[in-house]
Amino acid sequence: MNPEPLPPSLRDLEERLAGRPCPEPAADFRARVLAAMTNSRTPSISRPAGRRWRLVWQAAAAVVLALNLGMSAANGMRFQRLTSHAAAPAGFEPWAPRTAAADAFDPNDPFEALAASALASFTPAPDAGALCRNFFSDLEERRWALP
Amino acid sequence: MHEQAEDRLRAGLAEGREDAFAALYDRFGRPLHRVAWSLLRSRQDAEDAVQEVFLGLVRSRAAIGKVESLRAYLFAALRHAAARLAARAKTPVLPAGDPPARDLNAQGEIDPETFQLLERGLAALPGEQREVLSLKIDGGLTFAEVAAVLGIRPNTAASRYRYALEKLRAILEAGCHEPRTTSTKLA
Repeated sequence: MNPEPLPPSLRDLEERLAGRPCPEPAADFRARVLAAMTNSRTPSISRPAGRRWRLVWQAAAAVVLALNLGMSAANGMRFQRLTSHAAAPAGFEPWAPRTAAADAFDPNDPFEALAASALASFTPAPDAGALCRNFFSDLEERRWALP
Repeated sequence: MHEQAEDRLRAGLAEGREDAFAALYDRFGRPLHRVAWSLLRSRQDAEDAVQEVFLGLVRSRAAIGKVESLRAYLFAALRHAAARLAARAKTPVLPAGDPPARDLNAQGEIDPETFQLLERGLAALPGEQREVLSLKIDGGLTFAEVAAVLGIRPNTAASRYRYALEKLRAILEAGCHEPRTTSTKLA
């Protein structure tokens, strides 16, 4: 930008202001400032420490995630095995207690033993009647299906 | 400063090289100190403010590439440092009243009486006008740089500067008619 030029009187005042005395800094000020600047580089040198902590946190998060996924997978596989164990034998009556199926569990596995005891103490809900059985079965759909 | 030289300075600063620190101080130390003294009126506080500016620059040197004007950045940092120091000391930035003559150990190009008159005139100016005068005259900034430091438009900085000079001239002319300053004649 080109501001409007100042009149001579203001230019003169400007020069007087520029020429007014100002205290000089102490003789060793330059050396002190430069030494302080050199010393203050330290925080940036220690920056890798910050990066290290960030890596630690990332690794910890990855371990937690891996554990979570692994336990979910193990739980899913165990559930698959339990359902295969608990598969109803031929002539199994769904509304009867499943005490017979509990025998199929491995008693040495504490988890399966717990599942077996839970299944043994399982009390089925009372039979809600034919209407409920029809409602929750696919018979109804087949009945209404077009030929 | 040529762009290449400033680029080298920035690169040296970003790398934390001591020669770049020295070059920075030699280039900006004196005008920064002059403006700091003008704002704080204490040599010790001025030195503290300037040192704070350079230390801040070293600490934030990783981001120095994003700074458009290094000079404007330094003077803006000085303004903040001066405000912090003034707040800590519970004294206003650009204090009004007589300048502390005991702080002066340098001889300027003007006689002491004229100096006293000028300082009284400056003290009578509004703070924002004194700030523009100090940045322009003591810091040697352009109007664009003054505008960047103060967060105003360059035209506003230029007009504020002119108003400040006109007001200072009026104050000085009025002061020259007072009995104890009649020996000093300003333009």
